[in-house]
Amino acid sequence: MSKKDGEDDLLKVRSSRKVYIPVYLMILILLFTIGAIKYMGRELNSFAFRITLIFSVLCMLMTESHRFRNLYEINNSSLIHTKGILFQSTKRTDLLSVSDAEIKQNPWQRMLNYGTVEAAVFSKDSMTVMHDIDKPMEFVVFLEGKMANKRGAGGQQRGGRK
Amino acid sequence: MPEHYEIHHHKSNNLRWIMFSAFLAILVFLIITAFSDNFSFTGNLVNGIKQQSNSTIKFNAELTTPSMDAGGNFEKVEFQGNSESFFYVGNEKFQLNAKNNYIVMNNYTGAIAFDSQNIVKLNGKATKVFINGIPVEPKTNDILKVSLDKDFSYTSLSIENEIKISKLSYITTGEIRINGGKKIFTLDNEQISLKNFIGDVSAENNKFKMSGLIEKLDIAGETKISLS
Repeated sequence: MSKKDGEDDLLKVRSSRKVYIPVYLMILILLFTIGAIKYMGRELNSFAFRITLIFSVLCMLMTESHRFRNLYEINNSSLIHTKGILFQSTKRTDLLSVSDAEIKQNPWQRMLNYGTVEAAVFSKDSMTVMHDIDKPMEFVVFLEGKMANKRGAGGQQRGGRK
Repeated sequence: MPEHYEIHHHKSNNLRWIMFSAFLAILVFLIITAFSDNFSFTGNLVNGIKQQSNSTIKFNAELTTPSMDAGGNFEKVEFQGNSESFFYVGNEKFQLNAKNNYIVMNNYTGAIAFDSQNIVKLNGKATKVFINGIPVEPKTNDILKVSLDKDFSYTSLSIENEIKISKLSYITTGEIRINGGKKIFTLDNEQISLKNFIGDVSAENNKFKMSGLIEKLDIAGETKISLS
């Protein structure tokens, strides 16, 4: 989770790397197995070694590209979901139209403090889902703060026109 | 939850299963190839093909030593000579004598290349190695990796049971005995080509002795003979 522009004006988050712990574990197990084979003085099959390396590199590339595929951003006026790496689609949701936010976490996610946040726009059919982000509670608190600020500012504007 | 999120969820579940299956397959493959000495991709298919050898002509010869690059499983490889090379056996390396070394490898699997003077390549595995009479046996596993890092100038070399030479063609001098001496050919700088030799070979003082079976023999020169 990254905050920019000094005074908490902007919050940008991507999926947490904690999601990929099982993948990292698989790579570690394979590397550990190679180490054990070498340590025991056994012959390491070069083809098996190569496919292990290819698998590990592919896994790292896939996890990073998967992570970079989604960017969630909260600024003073909207909640923005940018999807894609080369071909991007951006969904902007005005903070005034966000009705509520729901956090979904399983026990594993609670333990590691990441989860999915669903921001609904007065309907469950039209909502922005932020998958597997770090510190979802902080994210929701920040979102609510921005929503409250925007609603307060909107109220003041309407009051000023009277 | 909207439908497209469910589709996305299904896709990522499939990807997870594919990734996990690939991980398991690689792990099993790593372990099997490391701990099973008889593992082979082609398995019995290739063994079956090898057994269908057409080498039926008994072949004994004493010729000049060719340059050869052979590989396979040999019951015994024995050589004497000198080298300033290190001889790597398992995790140990042995400095060879400059004067005379006598090395025996039992159940050697791997590559061996030689010419009339030197063993130019030796890289493989053996179950037991004797270096100048001292046995070296594996500690943790049942095979030893063996290799030479420089040429080994040999005075004698013997490969027993059995070397397979799919094709050998060179100009040579010497004597060939077919079917236990029923036919004898004396060669003087003549070209021979033989196909699918299976047997034992030894080399000493630029004399290359072959004893085994062949599928085909062609001699081109003053004597032109073709046997199959």
